[in-house]
Amino acid sequence: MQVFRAYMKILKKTMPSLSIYIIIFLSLSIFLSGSGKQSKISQFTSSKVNIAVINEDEGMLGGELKTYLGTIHNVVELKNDREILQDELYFRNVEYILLIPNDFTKKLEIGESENLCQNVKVPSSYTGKYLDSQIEQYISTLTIYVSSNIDEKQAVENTARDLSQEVKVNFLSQSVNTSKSDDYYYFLYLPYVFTSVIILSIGSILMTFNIKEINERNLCSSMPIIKKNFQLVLGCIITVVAVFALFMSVAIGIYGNSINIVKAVFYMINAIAFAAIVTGLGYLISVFVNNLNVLNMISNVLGIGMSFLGGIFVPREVLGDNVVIFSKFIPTYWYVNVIELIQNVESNRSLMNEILINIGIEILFAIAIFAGALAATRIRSDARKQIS
Amino acid sequence: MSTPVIKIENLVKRYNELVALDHFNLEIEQGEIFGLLGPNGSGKTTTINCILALLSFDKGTVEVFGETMAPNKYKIKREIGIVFQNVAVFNELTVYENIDYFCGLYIMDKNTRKQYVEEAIEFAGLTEFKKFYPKKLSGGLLRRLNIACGIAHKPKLIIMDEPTVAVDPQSRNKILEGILELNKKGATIIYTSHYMEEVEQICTRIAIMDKGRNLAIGTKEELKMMIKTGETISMEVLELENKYMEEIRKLNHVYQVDYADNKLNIKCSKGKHNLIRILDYLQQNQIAFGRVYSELPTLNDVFLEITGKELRDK
Amino acid sequence: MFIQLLKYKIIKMFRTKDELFWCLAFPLILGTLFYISFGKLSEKQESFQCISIAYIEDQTKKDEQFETVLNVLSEEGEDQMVQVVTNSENEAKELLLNKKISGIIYNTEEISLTVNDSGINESILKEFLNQYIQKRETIMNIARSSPEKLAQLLESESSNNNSLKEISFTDASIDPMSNYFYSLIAMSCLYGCFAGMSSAVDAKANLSTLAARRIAAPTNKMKLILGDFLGAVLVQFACTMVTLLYLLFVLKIDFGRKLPYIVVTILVGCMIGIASGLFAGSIGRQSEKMKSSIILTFTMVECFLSGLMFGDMKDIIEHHAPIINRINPAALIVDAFYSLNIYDTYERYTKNLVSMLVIAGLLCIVSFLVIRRERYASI
Repeated sequence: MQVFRAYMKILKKTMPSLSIYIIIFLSLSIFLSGSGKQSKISQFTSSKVNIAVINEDEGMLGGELKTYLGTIHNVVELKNDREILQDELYFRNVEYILLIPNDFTKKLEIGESENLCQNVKVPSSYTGKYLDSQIEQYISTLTIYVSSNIDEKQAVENTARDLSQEVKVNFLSQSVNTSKSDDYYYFLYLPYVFTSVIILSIGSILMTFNIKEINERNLCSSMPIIKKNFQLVLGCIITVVAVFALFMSVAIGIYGNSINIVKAVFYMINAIAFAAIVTGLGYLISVFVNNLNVLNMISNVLGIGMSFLGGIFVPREVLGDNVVIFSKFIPTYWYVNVIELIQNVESNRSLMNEILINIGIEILFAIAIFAGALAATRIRSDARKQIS
Repeated sequence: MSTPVIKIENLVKRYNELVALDHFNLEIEQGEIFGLLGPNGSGKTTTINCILALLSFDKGTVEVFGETMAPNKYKIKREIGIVFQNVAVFNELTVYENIDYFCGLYIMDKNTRKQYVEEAIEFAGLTEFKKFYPKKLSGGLLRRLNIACGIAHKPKLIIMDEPTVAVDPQSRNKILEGILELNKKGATIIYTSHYMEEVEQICTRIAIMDKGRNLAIGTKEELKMMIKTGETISMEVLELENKYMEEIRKLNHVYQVDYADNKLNIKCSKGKHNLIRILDYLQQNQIAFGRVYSELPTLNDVFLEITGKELRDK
Repeated sequence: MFIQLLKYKIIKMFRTKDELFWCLAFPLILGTLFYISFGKLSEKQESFQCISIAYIEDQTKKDEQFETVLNVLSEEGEDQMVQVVTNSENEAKELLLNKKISGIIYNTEEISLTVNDSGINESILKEFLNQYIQKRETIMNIARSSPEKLAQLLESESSNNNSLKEISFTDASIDPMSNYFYSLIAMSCLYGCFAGMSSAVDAKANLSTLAARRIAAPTNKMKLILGDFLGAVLVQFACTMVTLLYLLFVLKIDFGRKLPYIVVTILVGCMIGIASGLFAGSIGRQSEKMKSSIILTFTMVECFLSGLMFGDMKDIIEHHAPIINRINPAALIVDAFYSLNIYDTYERYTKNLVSMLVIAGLLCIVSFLVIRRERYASI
């Protein structure tokens, strides 16, 4: 167990720098589980937004629009000063600015419908689109009433009443929440964290063993390469188990009380499977990389790249269809599948099979990558012999 | 008398508990090839780093060319060439580029620099390898590159910290010849090494240090005078009874007699005619002997006696 | 002399091939990933994508009108919004449970929606149904009060959908996903920290013998460091420019029209990157490995907070801890790009740039002060 012992000694030596990664990424994942939720709020749970309405309308309808918006959002009073508005939008004190021009009522009365108002919004934000559709709906309804020659006051009343209609939404099962729980986000982002932490920790240790001279010296020794690799893998596994245990105990510490046991078990199995995959990846990478900076960059790009393609950082629904097909070749895809399925497993036990299949695929990934990594060490050592 | 090139007084350097330099004194005159000897960890490299103002020290003064040395004494630095123990070159740069780079840190003028670099390459015998990267050079060539980088700017003081470690005899001779040549051209040289023959061959003055202290200093002759051993006489003797050994031991100037494997070793302290006296004695007692050698002390003996004794003492 | 230092630093960097390669390749790889991940995202969000649903109706009590609308929407073609997968309630529930459909629309006594999630598709369905019943209410009201106008109103209504006009305080259009690409550029700039770190290693005698040799030379340390710094900045700048050009001309990402300003931002960004590496390399006595991990995690956290992983992260920070956005180099770079696009004045942009210069300057000055006169306690 000489190689293994050496591995552990180096591990001990690299502990200080590793603990930096671990601490940072641990806090990152706790932070993510809180803020990921925030960044994914959809219009399903309609929340009040801070908006500004600059009403210059000479008629009364502009004011009514403003009043209406005031009932469903927070209207912040701002002066109509371009600089101020820019700043407020810039610092997100308001997320949407509606400018009602002085001829709003006039135009509306004669039935004109193009460009009645102007808006400035946070580019490409969900809130922006949400507010657009609300205001458009209001204006178009109001237009209909006004054009039907009823009293403007009445028209405004009717419009407000109509717009208060809401479709009834039922949830199939009680367990479906409109917002996902923190543990969902914690485990959803785990692949990113694991990829970075695990590749960096085992990669930086294995790199030492792959330094040309040390590797050659190892190859010269009477220890079979298989045995050496086995001991290194064992070392990696222990490292990963330690990292895994740390992240799981944090999870238990934070979510332990609120989480269902079945869910928790599946979360864990899923995380183990994924940890196995990145362990293999780390092993594979360390065979080809001998520069710490390069290792850093690779782990980064792998982490971020797999997270995007697998649907971690952006919901899979927004990925193109072709991308989704492609992302089936990426382990995170299956990991995320399991996470999504776990959300419903309480109410639908039949999903268990599907979960197991997905986890199985992850394990296949892990095996394939490990096989590749071990083959790579073989090939590389052979190539060395031929060259020198 | 001109000012010494280097003057170190009462230099003390501690690494936590370990005292690396213990009130160390040293003076080196212009034109010398000064050998700094000492076992591993005796403080040679520390001394050099202090001279270069790389290292902070606890007490004492270091003067180079009569001025106190400091990190920003660029005028002094300009005249110093340094060859470190470890090869310190850029792996990304070729042989020529490396020498040009380091020379460029000293020599501003482009044409002069070009000439100097070419001269250094020739000096180190690297002409054929100009375009090579350091990784492709053999051990000896790499050492020569390391030296070339240090001396290309024609410094007045050259400090060489074990420049010949792991070098084959051919390269070593080339390097040693080069050092003598540099010295002939007027450079003062500080040279550290473990190879006594080298030091004996080229150095005009030698200091032996251990545990951060200067144990002995002088020309090699002076050093040899300092130690007990004056002459070692060895011969083949087939049989020797103990009583004869005792009697030999009592002869004038003899202080140590060993007999093993038919070989008799006799160490004599200073004095003349030791060999004749011993041979006379053997003949008188009809002891047969053959193959007689008489050796004068080498620097190795000096070194071992001085430093070795120190170690035993502690 | 200085040119000489600069020249060799650049040669050196170009010959550190693996590091240079990855410095170049990673932003390109990530950029491509971003591109394929949401290259079509903007279109997708604007036009409805086809959502699979189940439609359950009650033959007697159903709203005929709704069925017509639904039929129109599920017509095959470019504008197809929904696809009705089944009309059987049991099957529908099964499908919904397994997430094969996004919702069940009931057209019985009243129109209602049953969902099993709260994602984007569910939101779209809900919004669509809301709009339908609101409009239906309106039309019924009109039909009651002034039936003679109904036909005409409906006609004008169907042509009306542009009552709002989006204006921006500038005339440049903003690619919806630009924040990700801005962050990417910021990351590419800040990756200079690696080059900065090796500059520090080459200038600290206690980190390498090579540095000892350089320091033993009579060259002013300021010059040494400045040469290295400038060389590293230039190479990093070149790398980032390649990234920018790739984004601009291969992926056709819209960066607005103020290209010279963007280039300046990148240059200053690279300075910060190199300077942070230099800084981390100079201060403290940790091992290279340790320093490397510190600077990397730092850089990644900076990028994370500027929105490399989540586009909205910078906004969230702006709400809760705006000070971070004022001092986080990555956020400043992103902000500079952003304000170039948002504003037609350069006030905000200049503010960002000045902050960046101040940060780079501080980092450089501290690093220099640390390296300058240092004698080392041990080598």
